[in-house]
Amino acid sequence: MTNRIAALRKERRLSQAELADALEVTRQTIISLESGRYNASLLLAYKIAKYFGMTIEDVFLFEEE
Amino acid sequence: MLAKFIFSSDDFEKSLRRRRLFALGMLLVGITGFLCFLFLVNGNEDIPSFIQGFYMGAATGISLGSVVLLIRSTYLLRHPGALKKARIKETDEREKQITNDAFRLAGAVTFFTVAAALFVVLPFSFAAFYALLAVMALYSIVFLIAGFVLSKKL
Repeated sequence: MTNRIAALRKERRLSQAELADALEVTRQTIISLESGRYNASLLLAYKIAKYFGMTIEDVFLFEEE
Repeated sequence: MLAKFIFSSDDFEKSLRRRRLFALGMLLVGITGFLCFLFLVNGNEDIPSFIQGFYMGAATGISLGSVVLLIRSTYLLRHPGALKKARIKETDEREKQITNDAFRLAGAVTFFTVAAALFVVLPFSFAAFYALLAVMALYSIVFLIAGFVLSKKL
């Protein structure tokens, strides 16, 4: 699973702390999501997609092996 | 169940108020431990020194932990900025996963260490052997019951 969170955040000129604050998660969670070390739950994925005004599929890319 | 009631973060402020009550209850337990140490155990030559040390250590630990929890909960309830930070930290799903994984790892390590310790303690002490065996049995029973309950719930 990969995601476009870092790219979308940078497009909107947001810092990791600002995004974390808006999503009510820790900054470390944003860092882990962006680096791909942690996969968001469905609930958090939905919140992130909603925050960027997109669908989950637009933000999170599932790569079948 | 008790932990969920006290530490549940659905309503963080309510949870903090419950934690303050829990801390006061634990402080009473700690004070009881101190009183038992002072009036029942301390200076009694029939009671081994390590039991006296246990009373003092347990009472000190419980009391200090309670005071820290009481101070932290009260501070957070009076400082909205710190309250928000603490709420995010406690409700953050990654933090929860880290805690759950750490518990799972600690549980597995404890279980296998106790299993190995059974072989070591048997020649020296039956009491220690049975205590460790009881811990393993309790762990297994709780594991089975928790698995059953969670499979019905989820």
